[in-house]
Amino acid sequence: MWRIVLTIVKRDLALYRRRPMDCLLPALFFIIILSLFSFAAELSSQALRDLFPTLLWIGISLSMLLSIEGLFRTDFEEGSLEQWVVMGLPLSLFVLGKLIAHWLASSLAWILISPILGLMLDYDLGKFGQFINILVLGTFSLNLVMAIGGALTLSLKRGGALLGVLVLPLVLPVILLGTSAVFALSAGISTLPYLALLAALSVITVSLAPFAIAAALKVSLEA
Amino acid sequence: MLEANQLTYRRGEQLILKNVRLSLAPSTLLHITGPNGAGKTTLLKLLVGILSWQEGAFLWENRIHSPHHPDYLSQVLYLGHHNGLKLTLSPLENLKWLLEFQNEFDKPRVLSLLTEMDLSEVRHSPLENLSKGQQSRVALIRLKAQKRRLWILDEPFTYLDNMAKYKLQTWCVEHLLGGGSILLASHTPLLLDKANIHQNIHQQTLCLETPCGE
Amino acid sequence: MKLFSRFLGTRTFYQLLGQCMPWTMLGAVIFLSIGVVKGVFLVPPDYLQGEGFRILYVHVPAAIFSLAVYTVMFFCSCLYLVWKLKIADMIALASSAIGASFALIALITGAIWGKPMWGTYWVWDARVVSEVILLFFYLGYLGLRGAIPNPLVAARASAILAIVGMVDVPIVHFSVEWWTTLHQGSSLNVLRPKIAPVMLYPLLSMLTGFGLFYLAVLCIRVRTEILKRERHTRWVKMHQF
Repeated sequence: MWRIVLTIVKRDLALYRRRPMDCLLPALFFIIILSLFSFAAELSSQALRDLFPTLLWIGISLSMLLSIEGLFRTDFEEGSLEQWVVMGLPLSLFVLGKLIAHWLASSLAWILISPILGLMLDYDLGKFGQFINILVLGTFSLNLVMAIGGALTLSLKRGGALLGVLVLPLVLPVILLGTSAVFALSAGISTLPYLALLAALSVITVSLAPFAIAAALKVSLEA
Repeated sequence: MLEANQLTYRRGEQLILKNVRLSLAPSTLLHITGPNGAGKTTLLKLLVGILSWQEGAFLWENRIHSPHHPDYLSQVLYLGHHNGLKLTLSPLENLKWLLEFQNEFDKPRVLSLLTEMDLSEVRHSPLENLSKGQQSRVALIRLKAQKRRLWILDEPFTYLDNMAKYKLQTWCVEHLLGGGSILLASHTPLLLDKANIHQNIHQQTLCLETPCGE
Repeated sequence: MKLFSRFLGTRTFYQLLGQCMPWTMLGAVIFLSIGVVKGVFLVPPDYLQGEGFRILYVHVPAAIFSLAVYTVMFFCSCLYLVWKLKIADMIALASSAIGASFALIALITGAIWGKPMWGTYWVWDARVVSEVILLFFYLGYLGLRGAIPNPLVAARASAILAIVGMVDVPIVHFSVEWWTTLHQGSSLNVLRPKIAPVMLYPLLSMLTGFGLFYLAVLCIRVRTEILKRERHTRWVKMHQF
């Protein structure tokens, strides 16, 4: 069973290595959002620092929306999805593998981008390690939950706006926890409770989401 | 070996297949013909579990009643219109990632099959740099690399040059002689008219949407 | 389940619903009128909130039923996905717009109530946020249905969404217990209601009225859906309703 997950993870990581821009683009998009916001809002740097946690998570969600849309699309169009169904093995395992690979690749992109972010906002880089923890843990659930929306809209040619509506209710818990965690981090309070809650959320989503995603993918194949 | 009856499939409001029946014994080639849009691809997809019919009965080896059952699917190899290959990966990598799932990747064998299909020099180039014909040949290698009893092929001859067509026909004959069966949807008939070895192989034709041309 | 759907053909359903509809609509009108008259005119003003509290007679039933209707959609979606009962899918589809309206009414009346009470139209407390999320699930359901061209695929995809969204319903309900919010705790309890009887009865009347209204509109919408889907069959073509 784990061989399937592992094979997909390795395959997708190989794919990402061939096209590194696929992973970096969302992170770059996030920097653009952030820059636009700071220029347009003319906020003092203190205000920006206060808003940073919220901006961070909203920006991550928006840029992840872009990459999730394409996540299953190439497999759908090239016929890989069909082949997985024909193999007779549980589709949820393939889904899990794809999402783990996507999460690993995008986490790497975020980790690379974060110092730039920190510099842009004079953010205290001393707590860098914890910041990365929050980010990595939060994006895990975010990936899984957004993929549900992505799978449901797979058969649509331009599902973009609908994807946003579908995904918004599902990501709210993660965003709430994530922003609280980063707020706590900058206030110097222990982030442990938030990390624990994020971890719990990750466990719940990883045990439920793949089945919903697999069902939605099978439905999309019929279209 | 395989029987399907009363298959009816609608996509939305449109009736695509109505009361189709087919049966397949070992060492049989069933050739599915019909004009474009007759539902050949749909029929094949129904038989591999990608689509689900509204009405129909299915029987595999007298014990399995659904095309979604893993025991049935583990014996099927499906090559559809989209071959499931990733264009950014090379032939060798593509085959590796397709065969690894069920632990069927035997590197020396795959390499020799690549040579047999005349793809040895390009085995490390990304598929997007290869021609459509070469890409199709990579997909065909799975037929020999994976041991399956039932081959379900949807228009496999598209993009193939004469050499590759001949290779495919040879492989099909070998498969049939070995007891396997083939469901083939194609405009081009599979030329099995070489006399002596073919007494052990049966051929049938299923025509969708009468009247059919000869 | 197969026997059920085979013996109860859609024509029978159509006629059955047709008979239910007038009664439920009548009942709805009666109960809603009683509730409105008593609640608006006859109940004395609240000692804390003055006259403004009366809007709860619309706000509370709308909110409760936005949850109840979603639960109905959840069960129907399960029935549809597992046993392929078409009537379940029709009920879910018909309920979705009604439930979405209820959720919207709940949010709007809540905002109207909030202004004189707490000085602001909108507060992001847990119950409001989770109710907004529920509204989005409703809208997502309708959007998915409308966007996917193949009706069967659309039905199954939105059924999956309805099932996923069910996690929000307990969150809305228990949000007052789990977080400190603007909303008070639950006042309606079958055994020991914490609300004065004279205020309770109009509320119960409104609740019943809302419920019957939902059923009446459901009957109408499901009948329309049946006609739409079965428009090629003899009994519809011959107008043998």
